Amino acid sequence: MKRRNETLVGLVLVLGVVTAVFGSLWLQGWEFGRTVETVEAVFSDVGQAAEGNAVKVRGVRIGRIDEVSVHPEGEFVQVVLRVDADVPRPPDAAVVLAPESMFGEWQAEIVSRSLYPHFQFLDPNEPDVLPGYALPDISRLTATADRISENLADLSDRIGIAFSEETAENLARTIQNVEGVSDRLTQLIEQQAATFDVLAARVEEATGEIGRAATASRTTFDHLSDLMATGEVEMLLTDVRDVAEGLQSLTQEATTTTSEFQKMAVRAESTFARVDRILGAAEDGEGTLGRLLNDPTLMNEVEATLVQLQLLLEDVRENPRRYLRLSIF
Amino acid sequence: MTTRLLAPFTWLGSHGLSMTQGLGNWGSLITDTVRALRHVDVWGRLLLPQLARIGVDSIPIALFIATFTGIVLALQASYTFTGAIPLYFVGVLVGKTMIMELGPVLTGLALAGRIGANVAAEIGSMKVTEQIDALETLAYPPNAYLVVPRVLAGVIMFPAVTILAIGMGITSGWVTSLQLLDMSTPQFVRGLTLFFFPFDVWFAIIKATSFGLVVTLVGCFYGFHTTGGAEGVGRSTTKAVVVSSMLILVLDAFWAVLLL
Repeated sequence: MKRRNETLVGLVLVLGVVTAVFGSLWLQGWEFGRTVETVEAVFSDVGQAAEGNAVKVRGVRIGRIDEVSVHPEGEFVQVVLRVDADVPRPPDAAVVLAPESMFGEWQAEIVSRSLYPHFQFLDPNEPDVLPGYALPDISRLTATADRISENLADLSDRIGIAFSEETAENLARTIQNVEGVSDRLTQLIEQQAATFDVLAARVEEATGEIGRAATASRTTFDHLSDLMATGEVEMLLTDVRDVAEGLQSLTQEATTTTSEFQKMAVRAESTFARVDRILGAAEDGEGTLGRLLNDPTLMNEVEATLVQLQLLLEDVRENPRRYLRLSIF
Repeated sequence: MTTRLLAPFTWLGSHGLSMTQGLGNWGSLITDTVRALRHVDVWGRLLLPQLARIGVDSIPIALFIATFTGIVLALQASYTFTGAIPLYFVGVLVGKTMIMELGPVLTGLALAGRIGANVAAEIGSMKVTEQIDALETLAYPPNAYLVVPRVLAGVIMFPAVTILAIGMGITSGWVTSLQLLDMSTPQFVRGLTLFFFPFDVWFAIIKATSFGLVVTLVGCFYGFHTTGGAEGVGRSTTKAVVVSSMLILVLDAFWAVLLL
Protein backbone atom coordinates (compact mmCIF):
# COMPACT_ATOMS: atom_id res chain seq x y z
CA MET A 1 0.00 0.00 0.00
CA LYS A 2 2.76 2.37 0.95
CA ARG A 3 4.70 1.61 -2.24
CA ARG A 4 1.62 2.10 -4.31
CA ASN A 5 1.03 5.48 -2.68
CA GLU A 6 4.61 6.49 -3.30
CA THR A 7 4.36 5.58 -6.94
CA LEU A 8 1.07 7.35 -7.45
CA VAL A 9 2.11 10.50 -5.65
CA GLY A 10 5.40 10.61 -7.51
CA LEU A 11 3.61 10.05 -10.78
CA VAL A 12 1.11 12.82 -10.11
CA LEU A 13 3.81 15.26 -9.06
CA VAL A 14 6.01 14.51 -12.06
CA LEU A 15 3.06 14.67 -14.38
CA GLY A 16 2.03 17.99 -12.92
CA VAL A 17 5.51 19.48 -13.22
CA VAL A 18 6.01 18.16 -16.75
CA THR A 19 2.61 19.44 -17.81
CA ALA A 20 3.31 22.88 -16.37
CA VAL A 21 6.83 23.23 -17.76
CA PHE A 22 6.39 21.78 -21.22
CA GLY A 23 2.90 23.21 -21.58
CA SER A 24 4.25 26.68 -20.82
CA LEU A 25 7.14 26.30 -23.23
CA TRP A 26 4.88 24.97 -25.98
CA LEU A 27 2.34 27.73 -25.49
CA GLN A 28 5.16 30.27 -25.65
CA GLY A 29 5.97 28.97 -29.10
CA TRP A 30 9.02 26.90 -28.40
CA GLU A 31 9.81 24.63 -31.29
CA PHE A 32 11.21 21.47 -29.82
CA GLY A 33 13.89 19.81 -31.93
CA ARG A 34 14.67 22.91 -34.02
CA THR A 35 17.78 25.05 -34.05
CA VAL A 36 16.98 28.54 -32.91
CA GLU A 37 18.98 31.74 -32.79
CA THR A 38 18.37 35.20 -31.43
CA VAL A 39 18.21 38.26 -33.67
CA GLU A 40 18.20 41.78 -32.32
CA ALA A 41 16.40 44.71 -33.89
CA VAL A 42 15.98 48.33 -32.87
CA PHE A 43 12.90 50.52 -33.11
CA SER A 44 11.98 54.05 -32.23
CA ASP A 45 8.63 52.71 -31.02
CA VAL A 46 7.18 49.21 -30.82
CA GLY A 47 3.47 49.99 -30.72
CA GLN A 48 1.59 47.14 -29.02
CA ALA A 49 4.22 44.49 -29.72
CA ALA A 50 5.05 42.37 -26.70
CA GLU A 51 6.98 39.30 -25.70
CA GLY A 52 5.56 36.14 -27.20
CA ASN A 53 4.24 37.76 -30.39
CA ALA A 54 4.90 35.87 -33.59
CA VAL A 55 7.92 36.47 -35.82
CA LYS A 56 7.24 35.76 -39.49
CA VAL A 57 9.07 35.60 -42.77
CA ARG A 58 6.86 35.88 -45.84
CA GLY A 59 3.86 35.23 -43.60
CA VAL A 60 5.25 31.97 -42.14
CA ARG A 61 5.80 31.89 -38.40
CA ILE A 62 9.46 31.18 -37.64
CA GLY A 63 9.71 32.29 -34.04
CA ARG A 64 8.57 34.73 -31.41
CA ILE A 65 9.53 37.97 -29.74
CA ASP A 66 11.69 37.02 -26.80
CA GLU A 67 12.38 40.35 -25.16
CA VAL A 68 11.33 43.97 -25.49
CA SER A 69 13.29 46.58 -23.59
CA VAL A 70 14.00 50.27 -23.76
CA HIS A 71 17.65 51.17 -24.33
CA PRO A 72 19.35 52.32 -21.11
CA GLU A 73 19.76 55.82 -22.53
CA GLY A 74 16.16 55.81 -23.72
CA GLU A 75 17.02 56.49 -27.33
CA PHE A 76 15.32 53.45 -28.84
CA VAL A 77 13.71 50.12 -28.08
CA GLN A 78 15.63 46.87 -28.35
CA VAL A 79 13.69 43.80 -29.41
CA VAL A 80 15.18 40.32 -29.27
CA LEU A 81 13.65 37.83 -31.69
CA ARG A 82 13.99 34.09 -31.19
CA VAL A 83 13.78 32.59 -34.65
CA ASP A 84 14.41 29.35 -36.51
CA ALA A 85 18.06 29.39 -37.58
CA ASP A 86 17.38 27.32 -40.71
CA VAL A 87 15.13 29.93 -42.32
CA PRO A 88 17.10 32.23 -44.65
CA ARG A 89 16.67 35.97 -44.25
CA PRO A 90 16.98 38.65 -46.95
CA PRO A 91 20.44 40.27 -47.28
CA ASP A 92 19.01 43.70 -46.47
CA ALA A 93 16.78 42.34 -43.74
CA ALA A 94 14.70 44.68 -41.61
CA VAL A 95 11.93 44.10 -39.10
CA VAL A 96 8.45 45.57 -39.40
CA LEU A 97 6.14 45.47 -36.39
CA ALA A 98 2.48 45.49 -37.35
CA PRO A 99 -0.90 44.40 -36.02
CA GLU A 100 -1.49 40.74 -36.87
CA SER A 101 -5.24 41.21 -36.87
CA MET A 102 -7.86 43.68 -35.72
CA PHE A 103 -7.98 42.11 -32.26
CA GLY A 104 -4.86 43.48 -30.68
CA GLU A 105 -2.19 40.88 -31.35
CA TRP A 106 0.97 42.08 -33.11
CA GLN A 107 3.64 40.40 -35.15
CA ALA A 108 7.20 41.06 -36.19
CA GLU A 109 7.88 40.37 -39.86
CA ILE A 110 11.41 40.08 -41.24
CA VAL A 111 11.33 41.74 -44.65
CA SER A 112 13.65 43.05 -47.32
CA ARG A 113 14.22 46.71 -46.59
CA SER A 114 14.27 47.61 -50.28
CA LEU A 115 10.63 46.56 -50.56
CA TYR A 116 9.57 49.31 -48.18
CA PRO A 117 11.57 52.42 -49.13
CA HIS A 118 8.95 54.74 -47.61
CA PHE A 119 9.25 53.18 -44.12
CA GLN A 120 11.48 55.17 -41.80
CA PHE A 121 13.53 52.34 -40.35
CA LEU A 122 15.67 53.12 -37.33
CA ASP A 123 19.22 52.36 -38.38
CA PRO A 124 21.28 50.54 -35.76
CA ASN A 125 24.84 51.34 -34.83
CA GLU A 126 25.95 47.71 -34.83
CA PRO A 127 26.15 45.60 -37.98
CA ASP A 128 24.45 42.51 -36.54
CA VAL A 129 21.40 44.44 -35.37
CA LEU A 130 18.51 44.80 -37.78
CA PRO A 131 16.77 48.11 -38.47
CA GLY A 132 13.15 48.22 -37.37
CA TYR A 133 9.97 50.11 -38.02
CA ALA A 134 6.58 49.86 -36.29
CA LEU A 135 3.40 50.60 -38.16
CA PRO A 136 0.88 52.79 -36.35
CA ASP A 137 -1.63 50.74 -34.42
CA ILE A 138 -5.37 50.98 -34.60
CA SER A 139 -5.54 53.29 -31.59
CA ARG A 140 -3.33 55.84 -33.34
CA LEU A 141 -5.31 55.54 -36.53
CA THR A 142 -8.47 55.96 -34.51
CA ALA A 143 -7.00 59.03 -32.82
CA THR A 144 -6.10 60.47 -36.21
CA ALA A 145 -9.56 59.71 -37.52
CA ASP A 146 -10.97 61.37 -34.43
CA ARG A 147 -8.97 64.53 -35.15
CA ILE A 148 -10.12 64.47 -38.76
CA SER A 149 -13.73 64.09 -37.67
CA GLU A 150 -13.32 67.00 -35.27
CA ASN A 151 -11.92 69.13 -38.08
CA LEU A 152 -14.78 68.09 -40.32
CA ALA A 153 -17.26 68.99 -37.61
CA ASP A 154 -15.59 72.37 -37.22
CA LEU A 155 -15.67 72.87 -40.97
CA SER A 156 -19.31 71.91 -41.20
CA ASP A 157 -20.10 74.36 -38.41
CA ARG A 158 -18.36 77.12 -40.31
CA ILE A 159 -20.20 76.19 -43.48
CA GLY A 160 -23.43 76.27 -41.49
CA ILE A 161 -22.61 79.78 -40.29
CA ALA A 162 -21.57 80.98 -43.74
CA PHE A 163 -24.60 79.49 -45.47
CA SER A 164 -27.12 82.21 -44.59
CA GLU A 165 -30.34 83.13 -46.41
CA GLU A 166 -28.55 85.91 -48.26
CA THR A 167 -25.88 83.45 -49.36
CA ALA A 168 -28.59 81.14 -50.58
CA GLU A 169 -30.17 83.93 -52.62
CA ASN A 170 -26.79 84.85 -54.02
CA LEU A 171 -26.19 81.27 -54.86
CA ALA A 172 -29.57 81.04 -56.58
CA ARG A 173 -28.78 84.14 -58.62
CA THR A 174 -25.38 82.78 -59.42
CA ILE A 175 -26.93 79.55 -60.58
CA GLN A 176 -29.35 81.48 -62.78
CA ASN A 177 -26.47 83.49 -64.20
CA VAL A 178 -24.54 80.35 -64.79
CA GLU A 179 -27.57 78.95 -66.59
CA GLY A 180 -27.72 82.06 -68.81
CA VAL A 181 -24.02 81.87 -69.48
CA SER A 182 -24.43 78.22 -70.20
CA ASP A 183 -27.18 78.95 -72.78
CA ARG A 184 -25.01 81.56 -74.43
CA LEU A 185 -22.09 79.25 -74.45
CA THR A 186 -24.30 76.64 -76.05
CA GLN A 187 -25.33 79.05 -78.77
CA LEU A 188 -21.76 80.13 -79.28
CA ILE A 189 -20.66 76.56 -79.50
CA GLU A 190 -23.38 75.84 -82.04
CA GLN A 191 -22.27 78.84 -84.10
CA GLN A 192 -18.70 77.83 -83.77
CA ALA A 193 -19.66 74.36 -84.79
CA ALA A 194 -21.34 75.70 -87.96
CA THR A 195 -18.31 77.89 -88.62
CA PHE A 196 -16.09 74.96 -88.06
CA ASP A 197 -18.17 72.96 -90.49
CA VAL A 198 -17.69 75.63 -93.16
CA LEU A 199 -14.08 75.96 -92.26
CA ALA A 200 -13.67 72.24 -92.38
CA ALA A 201 -15.28 72.18 -95.82
CA ARG A 202 -12.92 74.90 -96.96
CA VAL A 203 -10.01 73.19 -95.43
CA GLU A 204 -11.07 70.06 -97.20
CA GLU A 205 -11.33 72.00 -100.44
CA ALA A 206 -7.97 73.62 -99.82
CA THR A 207 -6.57 70.25 -99.05
CA GLY A 208 -7.85 69.07 -102.40
CA GLU A 209 -6.28 72.08 -104.06
CA ILE A 210 -3.05 71.44 -102.26
CA GLY A 211 -3.25 67.87 -103.37
CA ARG A 212 -3.76 68.93 -106.95
CA ALA A 213 -0.99 71.49 -106.64
CA ALA A 214 1.20 68.81 -105.25
CA THR A 215 0.35 66.63 -108.21
CA ALA A 216 1.12 69.49 -110.57
CA SER A 217 4.32 70.22 -108.70
CA ARG A 218 5.25 66.62 -108.95
CA THR A 219 4.61 66.76 -112.70
CA THR A 220 6.61 69.97 -112.92
CA PHE A 221 9.40 68.46 -110.95
CA ASP A 222 9.29 65.48 -113.26
CA HIS A 223 9.55 67.78 -116.26
CA LEU A 224 12.29 69.72 -114.53
CA SER A 225 14.06 66.49 -113.87
CA ASP A 226 13.75 65.58 -117.54
CA LEU A 227 15.01 69.01 -118.55
CA MET A 228 17.94 68.71 -116.19
CA ALA A 229 18.68 65.34 -117.65
CA THR A 230 18.74 66.77 -121.23
CA GLY A 231 20.92 69.82 -120.37
CA GLU A 232 18.30 72.35 -121.37
CA VAL A 233 18.17 73.72 -117.91
CA GLU A 234 21.90 74.34 -117.99
CA MET A 235 21.53 76.27 -121.23
CA LEU A 236 18.62 78.13 -119.80
CA LEU A 237 20.64 78.99 -116.74
CA THR A 238 23.50 80.22 -118.96
CA ASP A 239 21.06 82.47 -120.87
CA VAL A 240 19.60 83.64 -117.61
CA ARG A 241 23.11 84.35 -116.36
CA ASP A 242 23.84 86.40 -119.53
CA VAL A 243 20.58 88.24 -119.17
CA ALA A 244 21.41 88.86 -115.55
CA GLU A 245 24.80 90.25 -116.48
CA GLY A 246 23.13 92.49 -119.11
CA LEU A 247 20.60 93.56 -116.58
CA GLN A 248 23.42 94.29 -114.16
CA SER A 249 25.24 96.54 -116.66
CA LEU A 250 21.94 98.13 -117.59
CA THR A 251 21.28 98.71 -113.97
CA GLN A 252 24.68 100.34 -113.55
CA GLU A 253 24.02 102.58 -116.52
CA ALA A 254 20.60 103.36 -115.21
CA THR A 255 22.17 104.16 -111.90
CA THR A 256 24.66 106.51 -113.59
CA THR A 257 21.93 108.06 -115.68
CA THR A 258 19.79 108.40 -112.64
CA SER A 259 22.55 110.16 -110.74
CA GLU A 260 23.16 112.47 -113.69
CA PHE A 261 19.49 112.93 -114.03
CA GLN A 262 19.37 113.81 -110.38
CA LYS A 263 22.15 116.35 -110.83
CA MET A 264 20.36 117.75 -113.83
CA ALA A 265 17.16 117.83 -111.85
CA VAL A 266 18.96 119.75 -109.16
CA ARG A 267 20.26 122.18 -111.72
CA ALA A 268 16.86 122.41 -113.36
CA GLU A 269 15.33 122.99 -110.02
CA SER A 270 17.75 125.83 -109.32
CA THR A 271 17.18 127.15 -112.82
CA PHE A 272 13.47 126.96 -112.37
CA ALA A 273 13.91 128.73 -109.07
CA ARG A 274 15.88 131.48 -110.71
CA VAL A 275 13.36 131.72 -113.54
CA ASP A 276 10.66 131.77 -110.97
CA ARG A 277 12.38 134.59 -109.13
CA ILE A 278 12.96 136.46 -112.45
CA LEU A 279 9.35 135.97 -113.45
CA GLY A 280 8.27 137.09 -110.02
CA ALA A 281 10.45 140.14 -110.28
CA ALA A 282 9.18 140.72 -113.80
CA GLU A 283 5.60 140.46 -112.59
CA ASP A 284 6.41 142.85 -109.81
CA GLY A 285 7.73 145.25 -112.43
CA GLU A 286 11.30 145.09 -111.36
CA GLY A 287 14.10 145.28 -113.91
CA THR A 288 13.89 145.95 -117.58
CA LEU A 289 11.78 142.96 -118.34
CA GLY A 290 9.41 143.86 -115.58
CA ARG A 291 9.04 147.36 -116.70
CA LEU A 292 8.71 146.09 -120.23
CA LEU A 293 5.97 143.74 -119.17
CA ASN A 294 4.18 146.12 -116.90
CA ASP A 295 4.77 149.51 -118.58
CA PRO A 296 2.67 149.89 -121.78
CA THR A 297 4.62 153.01 -122.68
CA LEU A 298 7.76 151.14 -123.22
CA MET A 299 5.90 148.59 -125.26
CA ASN A 300 4.42 151.29 -127.32
CA GLU A 301 7.82 152.91 -127.83
CA VAL A 302 9.33 149.59 -128.70
CA GLU A 303 6.60 148.93 -131.17
CA ALA A 304 7.08 152.42 -132.65
CA THR A 305 10.82 151.85 -132.75
CA LEU A 306 10.27 148.55 -134.46
CA VAL A 307 8.01 150.23 -136.99
CA GLN A 308 10.57 152.99 -137.69
CA LEU A 309 13.31 150.36 -137.83
CA GLN A 310 11.27 148.48 -140.37
CA LEU A 311 10.80 151.72 -142.39
CA LEU A 312 14.49 152.37 -142.13
CA LEU A 313 15.33 148.91 -143.39
CA GLU A 314 12.97 149.34 -146.29
CA ASP A 315 14.56 152.68 -147.06
CA VAL A 316 18.01 151.18 -146.82
CA ARG A 317 16.96 148.45 -149.15
CA GLU A 318 15.59 150.97 -151.59
CA ASN A 319 18.29 153.61 -151.22
CA PRO A 320 21.42 151.80 -150.16
CA ARG A 321 23.71 154.57 -151.40
CA ARG A 322 22.17 156.91 -149.06
CA TYR A 323 23.43 154.94 -146.25
CA LEU A 324 26.45 152.97 -147.66
CA ARG A 325 29.45 154.40 -149.45
CA LEU A 326 32.04 152.02 -150.90
CA SER A 327 35.43 153.36 -152.09
CA ILE A 328 38.56 151.61 -153.04
CA PHE A 329 41.56 153.73 -152.14
CA MET B 1 -35.65 49.03 29.90
CA THR B 2 -32.00 49.32 30.78
CA THR B 3 -31.34 45.85 29.42
CA ARG B 4 -32.89 46.80 26.06
CA LEU B 5 -30.83 49.93 25.82
CA LEU B 6 -27.68 47.99 26.52
CA ALA B 7 -28.52 45.14 24.17
CA PRO B 8 -26.62 46.50 21.15
CA PHE B 9 -23.56 47.04 23.25
CA THR B 10 -23.90 43.57 24.69
CA TRP B 11 -24.20 42.15 21.15
CA LEU B 12 -21.23 44.14 19.99
CA GLY B 13 -19.11 43.09 22.93
CA SER B 14 -20.12 39.47 22.62
CA HIS B 15 -19.32 39.30 18.92
CA GLY B 16 -16.16 41.32 19.39
CA LEU B 17 -14.96 38.88 21.99
CA SER B 18 -15.97 35.98 19.80
CA MET B 19 -14.08 37.40 16.81
CA THR B 20 -11.06 38.12 18.91
CA GLN B 21 -11.22 34.63 20.32
CA GLY B 22 -11.54 33.25 16.79
CA LEU B 23 -8.54 35.25 15.61
CA GLY B 24 -6.65 34.05 18.63
CA ASN B 25 -7.56 30.48 17.88
CA TRP B 26 -6.43 30.95 14.27
CA GLY B 27 -3.20 32.53 15.40
CA SER B 28 -2.67 29.75 17.87
CA LEU B 29 -3.26 27.09 15.22
CA ILE B 30 -0.90 28.71 12.76
CA THR B 31 1.78 29.30 15.34
CA ASP B 32 1.55 25.76 16.68
CA THR B 33 1.64 24.38 13.15
CA VAL B 34 4.74 26.37 12.26
CA ARG B 35 6.36 25.21 15.48
CA ALA B 36 5.34 21.66 14.71
CA LEU B 37 7.31 21.75 11.48
CA ARG B 38 10.40 20.86 13.47
CA HIS B 39 8.89 17.47 14.37
CA VAL B 40 9.79 15.98 11.06
CA ASP B 41 10.00 12.53 12.62
CA VAL B 42 6.35 12.81 13.49
CA TRP B 43 4.80 14.32 10.37
CA GLY B 44 7.36 12.93 7.87
CA ARG B 45 6.01 9.40 7.89
CA LEU B 46 2.45 10.68 7.75
CA LEU B 47 3.00 12.94 4.76
CA LEU B 48 2.92 10.29 2.04
CA PRO B 49 -0.51 8.90 2.94
CA GLN B 50 -1.86 12.43 3.07
CA LEU B 51 -0.33 13.24 -0.32
CA ALA B 52 -2.07 10.18 -1.70
CA ARG B 53 -5.39 10.97 -0.07
CA ILE B 54 -5.44 14.68 -0.80
CA GLY B 55 -3.72 14.61 -4.20
CA VAL B 56 -3.99 11.30 -5.99
CA ASP B 57 -7.46 10.47 -4.76
CA SER B 58 -8.70 13.91 -5.81
CA ILE B 59 -7.56 13.61 -9.38
CA PRO B 60 -10.66 11.86 -10.77
CA ILE B 61 -13.08 14.48 -9.49
CA ALA B 62 -10.75 17.32 -10.58
CA LEU B 63 -10.35 15.91 -14.08
CA PHE B 64 -14.04 15.21 -14.36
CA ILE B 65 -14.94 18.78 -13.52
CA ALA B 66 -12.21 20.16 -15.81
CA THR B 67 -13.31 17.99 -18.73
CA PHE B 68 -16.85 19.30 -18.75
CA THR B 69 -15.71 22.82 -17.99
CA GLY B 70 -13.51 22.72 -21.10
CA ILE B 71 -16.39 21.43 -23.23
CA VAL B 72 -18.77 24.10 -21.99
CA LEU B 73 -16.17 26.84 -22.40
CA ALA B 74 -15.51 25.91 -26.02
CA LEU B 75 -19.19 25.75 -26.87
CA GLN B 76 -20.05 28.97 -25.09
CA ALA B 77 -17.10 30.73 -26.68
CA SER B 78 -18.16 29.69 -30.18
CA TYR B 79 -21.72 30.75 -29.38
CA THR B 80 -20.51 34.14 -28.16
CA PHE B 81 -18.01 34.73 -30.94
CA THR B 82 -20.35 33.89 -33.80
CA GLY B 83 -20.12 36.74 -36.27
CA ALA B 84 -17.38 39.32 -36.28
CA ILE B 85 -14.84 37.61 -34.02
CA PRO B 86 -12.75 34.86 -35.60
CA LEU B 87 -13.35 31.37 -34.32
CA TYR B 88 -9.77 30.86 -33.23
CA PHE B 89 -10.61 33.08 -30.26
CA VAL B 90 -12.27 29.96 -28.83
CA GLY B 91 -8.74 28.79 -28.11
CA VAL B 92 -7.93 32.10 -26.45
CA LEU B 93 -10.95 31.90 -24.20
CA VAL B 94 -10.56 28.23 -23.31
CA GLY B 95 -6.84 28.60 -22.60
CA LYS B 96 -6.94 31.84 -20.65
CA THR B 97 -10.02 30.91 -18.65
CA MET B 98 -8.86 27.43 -17.78
CA ILE B 99 -5.35 28.49 -16.81
CA MET B 100 -6.08 31.67 -14.91
CA GLU B 101 -9.51 31.18 -13.44
CA LEU B 102 -11.64 28.11 -13.78
CA GLY B 103 -8.86 25.54 -13.49
CA PRO B 104 -7.63 26.68 -10.08
CA VAL B 105 -10.97 27.87 -8.69
CA LEU B 106 -13.14 24.92 -9.72
CA THR B 107 -10.47 22.48 -8.62
CA GLY B 108 -10.13 24.39 -5.35
CA LEU B 109 -13.88 24.37 -4.75
CA ALA B 110 -14.15 20.70 -5.60
CA LEU B 111 -11.29 19.85 -3.31
CA ALA B 112 -12.67 22.13 -0.61
CA GLY B 113 -15.77 19.97 -0.56
CA ARG B 114 -13.85 16.77 -0.62
CA ILE B 115 -10.68 17.51 1.35
CA GLY B 116 -11.99 20.22 3.66
CA ALA B 117 -14.92 18.07 4.76
CA ASN B 118 -12.71 15.03 5.08
CA VAL B 119 -10.14 16.76 7.24
CA ALA B 120 -12.71 18.53 9.43
CA ALA B 121 -14.69 15.35 9.95
CA GLU B 122 -11.62 13.26 10.68
CA ILE B 123 -10.05 15.67 13.17
CA GLY B 124 -13.45 16.62 14.60
CA SER B 125 -14.19 12.98 15.30
CA MET B 126 -10.82 12.59 16.98
CA LYS B 127 -11.56 15.71 18.97
CA VAL B 128 -14.99 14.62 20.23
CA THR B 129 -13.69 11.16 21.02
CA GLU B 130 -10.75 12.71 22.90
CA GLN B 131 -8.17 11.02 20.71
CA ILE B 132 -6.36 14.35 20.40
CA ASP B 133 -6.17 14.59 24.15
CA ALA B 134 -4.74 11.08 24.13
CA LEU B 135 -2.08 12.16 21.68
CA GLU B 136 -1.10 14.99 23.95
CA THR B 137 -1.03 12.59 26.84
CA LEU B 138 1.32 10.37 24.87
CA ALA B 139 3.54 13.42 24.20
CA TYR B 140 2.67 13.48 20.53
CA PRO B 141 2.37 17.07 19.32
CA PRO B 142 -1.14 17.03 17.81
CA ASN B 143 -0.35 19.72 15.22
CA ALA B 144 2.69 17.81 13.99
CA TYR B 145 0.66 14.63 13.86
CA LEU B 146 -2.57 15.97 12.39
CA VAL B 147 -2.15 19.43 10.88
CA VAL B 148 1.31 19.59 9.31
CA PRO B 149 1.01 16.51 7.05
CA ARG B 150 -2.39 17.61 5.80
CA VAL B 151 -1.42 21.22 5.21
CA LEU B 152 1.83 20.22 3.48
CA ALA B 153 -0.02 17.68 1.37
CA GLY B 154 -2.56 20.32 0.42
CA VAL B 155 0.12 22.88 -0.48
CA ILE B 156 2.06 20.33 -2.55
CA MET B 157 -0.76 18.47 -4.26
CA PHE B 158 -3.27 21.22 -4.98
CA PRO B 159 -1.00 22.81 -7.65
CA ALA B 160 -0.24 19.44 -9.20
CA VAL B 161 -3.89 18.48 -9.38
CA THR B 162 -4.79 21.94 -10.67
CA ILE B 163 -2.19 21.74 -13.46
CA LEU B 164 -3.52 18.37 -14.53
CA ALA B 165 -7.06 19.74 -14.42
CA ILE B 166 -6.04 22.69 -16.56
CA GLY B 167 -4.43 20.35 -19.07
CA MET B 168 -7.54 18.21 -19.16
CA GLY B 169 -9.82 21.21 -19.56
CA ILE B 170 -7.81 22.58 -22.48
CA THR B 171 -7.68 19.15 -24.07
CA SER B 172 -11.43 18.68 -23.79
CA GLY B 173 -11.97 22.17 -25.19
CA TRP B 174 -9.67 21.34 -28.11
CA VAL B 175 -11.47 18.05 -28.83
CA THR B 176 -14.81 19.83 -28.62
CA SER B 177 -13.61 22.50 -31.04
CA LEU B 178 -12.48 19.85 -33.50
CA GLN B 179 -15.56 17.67 -33.25
CA LEU B 180 -18.37 20.13 -32.72
CA LEU B 181 -17.18 23.52 -33.95
CA ASP B 182 -15.55 22.68 -37.28
CA MET B 183 -12.28 24.16 -36.09
CA SER B 184 -8.86 22.84 -37.00
CA THR B 185 -6.05 22.09 -34.60
CA PRO B 186 -3.86 24.96 -35.93
CA GLN B 187 -6.75 27.36 -35.43
CA PHE B 188 -7.28 26.25 -31.84
CA VAL B 189 -3.55 26.25 -31.09
CA ARG B 190 -3.19 29.72 -32.61
CA GLY B 191 -5.84 31.03 -30.24
CA LEU B 192 -4.30 29.10 -27.37
CA THR B 193 -0.86 30.62 -27.90
CA LEU B 194 -2.02 34.06 -28.97
CA PHE B 195 -2.16 35.78 -25.60
CA PHE B 196 -0.31 33.23 -23.50
CA PHE B 197 2.24 34.45 -21.03
CA PRO B 198 4.32 32.20 -18.73
CA PHE B 199 3.06 34.28 -15.84
CA ASP B 200 -0.38 32.80 -16.44
CA VAL B 201 0.89 29.41 -15.24
CA TRP B 202 2.61 30.96 -12.24
CA PHE B 203 -0.60 32.77 -11.42
CA ALA B 204 -2.49 29.45 -11.45
CA ILE B 205 0.14 27.74 -9.32
CA ILE B 206 0.16 30.55 -6.75
CA LYS B 207 -3.60 30.46 -6.50
CA ALA B 208 -3.75 26.68 -6.26
CA THR B 209 -1.10 26.65 -3.55
CA SER B 210 -2.97 29.23 -1.51
CA PHE B 211 -6.20 27.31 -1.98
CA GLY B 212 -4.56 24.11 -0.74
CA LEU B 213 -3.24 25.93 2.31
CA VAL B 214 -6.61 27.49 3.09
CA VAL B 215 -8.69 24.35 2.55
CA THR B 216 -6.53 22.15 4.76
CA LEU B 217 -6.02 24.80 7.43
CA VAL B 218 -9.75 25.54 7.64
CA GLY B 219 -10.53 21.82 7.83
CA CYS B 220 -7.99 21.38 10.60
CA PHE B 221 -9.23 24.46 12.45
CA TYR B 222 -12.86 23.42 12.54
CA GLY B 223 -11.87 19.87 13.31
CA PHE B 224 -9.81 21.00 16.29
CA HIS B 225 -12.66 23.14 17.56
CA THR B 226 -15.38 20.58 17.19
CA THR B 227 -17.66 20.20 20.18
CA GLY B 228 -20.86 18.36 20.79
CA GLY B 229 -20.34 14.84 19.55
CA ALA B 230 -21.44 13.59 16.13
CA GLU B 231 -23.69 16.56 15.59
CA GLY B 232 -20.78 18.86 16.30
CA VAL B 233 -18.69 16.94 13.78
CA GLY B 234 -21.37 17.54 11.18
CA ARG B 235 -21.46 21.25 11.99
CA SER B 236 -17.70 21.51 11.81
CA THR B 237 -17.65 19.71 8.50
CA THR B 238 -20.26 22.01 7.04
CA LYS B 239 -18.51 25.10 8.39
CA ALA B 240 -15.18 23.92 7.02
CA VAL B 241 -16.60 23.44 3.53
CA VAL B 242 -18.49 26.74 3.53
CA VAL B 243 -15.67 28.83 4.96
CA SER B 244 -12.99 27.27 2.79
CA SER B 245 -15.15 27.80 -0.31
CA MET B 246 -15.70 31.41 0.64
CA LEU B 247 -12.04 31.93 1.33
CA ILE B 248 -11.17 30.41 -2.03
CA LEU B 249 -13.29 33.03 -3.79
CA VAL B 250 -11.91 35.80 -1.60
CA LEU B 251 -8.37 34.67 -2.29
CA ASP B 252 -9.19 34.45 -6.00
CA ALA B 253 -10.14 38.11 -5.99
CA PHE B 254 -7.21 38.96 -3.73
CA TRP B 255 -4.64 37.42 -6.05
CA ALA B 256 -6.28 39.03 -9.08
CA VAL B 257 -6.07 42.45 -7.45
CA LEU B 258 -2.55 41.85 -6.21
CA LEU B 259 -0.95 40.21 -9.24
CA LEU B 260 -2.85 41.32 -12.35
